Amino acid sequence: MEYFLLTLVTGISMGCTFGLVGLAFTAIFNASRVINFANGDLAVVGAFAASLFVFSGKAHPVIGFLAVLALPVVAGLLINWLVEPSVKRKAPIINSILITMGGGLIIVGLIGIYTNFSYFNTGYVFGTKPLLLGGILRISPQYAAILVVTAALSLAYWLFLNKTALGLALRALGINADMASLVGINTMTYRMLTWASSSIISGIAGFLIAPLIVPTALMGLPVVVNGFIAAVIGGFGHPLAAVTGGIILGLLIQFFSAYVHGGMAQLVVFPVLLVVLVFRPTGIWGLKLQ
Amino acid sequence: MRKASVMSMKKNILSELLKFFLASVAIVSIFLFSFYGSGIALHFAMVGLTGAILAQGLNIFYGYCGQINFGSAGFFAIGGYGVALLEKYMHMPYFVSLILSVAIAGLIALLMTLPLLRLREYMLALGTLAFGLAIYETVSKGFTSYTGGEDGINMSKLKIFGTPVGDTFFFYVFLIATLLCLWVSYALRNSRTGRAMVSISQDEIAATSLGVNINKYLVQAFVLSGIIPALAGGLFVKWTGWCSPEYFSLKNSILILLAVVVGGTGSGIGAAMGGFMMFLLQEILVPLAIYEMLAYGVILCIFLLFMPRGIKGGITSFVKWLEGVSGR
Repeated sequence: MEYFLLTLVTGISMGCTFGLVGLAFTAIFNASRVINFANGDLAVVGAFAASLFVFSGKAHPVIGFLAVLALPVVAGLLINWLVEPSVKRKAPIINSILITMGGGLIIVGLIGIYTNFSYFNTGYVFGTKPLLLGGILRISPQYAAILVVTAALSLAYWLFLNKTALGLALRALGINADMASLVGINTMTYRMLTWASSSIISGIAGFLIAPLIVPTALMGLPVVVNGFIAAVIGGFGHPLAAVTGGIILGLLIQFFSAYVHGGMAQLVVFPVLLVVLVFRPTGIWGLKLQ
Repeated sequence: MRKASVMSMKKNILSELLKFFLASVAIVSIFLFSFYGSGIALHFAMVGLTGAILAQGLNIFYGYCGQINFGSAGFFAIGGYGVALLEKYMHMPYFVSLILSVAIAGLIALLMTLPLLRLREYMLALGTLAFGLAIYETVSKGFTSYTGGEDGINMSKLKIFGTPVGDTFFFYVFLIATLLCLWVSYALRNSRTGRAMVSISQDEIAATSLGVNINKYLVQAFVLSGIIPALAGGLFVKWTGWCSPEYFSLKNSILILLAVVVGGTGSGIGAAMGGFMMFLLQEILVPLAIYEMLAYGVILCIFLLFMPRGIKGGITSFVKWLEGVSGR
């Protein structure tokens, strides 16, 4: 029973980190119809900034946390700057995907040169003493932090997109950029804003995930693939979809590796993804894509 | 009228002469190379040729049909592991196992089209990416008792009539395979099928309205872009004598895509050049592996932003410019 609960909590928490990356995908997709394949690399930037400024303990915690927020934004705006020309001239979507990938490779390459592609420092900023919930459920503070942050961020993003004027403008931008600019939406500024906020989400995901895995400059790829799969399972475009899909994916991976076979967890994802793509390509939330 | 035809004749003669000159230089240098080339040069050349074959496989699906495919390394792995497993467990002769594993790769590609070709654009990118990852996980972590996990499978040296053959023989095999693939993509491009594929890349709706059966041509293209990397995989693992999962990681899928972009999207010879150069670059950069990722990112961005037609496009416009200068 305890093992089951442990697997459950781990699965949900891992799923939440996938969900955060999926949320970052969704944010950019909703505003500019670009799939940012560098999201995982922005998470690497977050983990890297955390290892430099937070886990090392050299900087003041507040400054350290601000750096964790700021460095991914710088990286994200760099990629936006690279991808902006092809968004503007409405190049095939493949071009913008490949450019985000190239930007991600540049960022990861720079971090890799700095760290020699070895592991980053990590640490448990939230402590290591397990919290006891309801008498039976032991949950590590790191997992608890992941759950709380994911819930807060996805709720905030949903409220922002649906209840504020800025969110309305961003949705309009995603549906038709030309129309949006006709009604006075400054498309370039708004895209930059989206990229900045999406990078912050990715960076936080990287910061939270770092102590749970062995973070290197190359960890971006599995993160980005799982995040994307989470977003697709949930239903691409919907703000809460990424987290739903992420939790399903996390549970699937954790239960498979706990009860069936440890090494092949990533393998079970592929058939599930195919089934979802074939029978319900709009995902669980079933949003019709424009 | 007459002047124009004389001028076009002049242009034709010039570009034909240039082509003839380049072809003869290539043939002579290949012969000299295979006789006098040292071991390490042959090694680099064969890695480059592997890249050329792989890139041509992707070019048919990505360059001609305009559909993205991140799964090339998966088919590369199927070819390689097919040969290795058939040799280890069925003790088949090499060329039989090569043909068989290429056929298996074609069959898997055909089956994969059922789910994958319902997808387009970024969803197709994700689906093929997941396929490549699934194959990589299968061979590196899945059935480790058969595939040897991260250690891979050791292969025996290739013998023909009882005598072991060296690198020079493999060099010619790689060369013939590359030329075969080049011929396939050239003949395809100039056929009805190839024109239909290019029309899909330009506008699917317009292509359908002209009576092009999109699904049929995409299936054909996807199967071809599965068979050709499998051929490269079968040749490559036998030459290196070791079938290791690290050859088939996702990094190689990205490298193949990069090769097609660098060489020239939609051109067989361009993709071959790009594949040769990128895989050569990767092999040369091994001592500088730390700068590899940065180099790939910079190359990818520069080509996509400033030279979207790749090196082949650059050469074509250079030749046009040359003809314009001489025609004046």
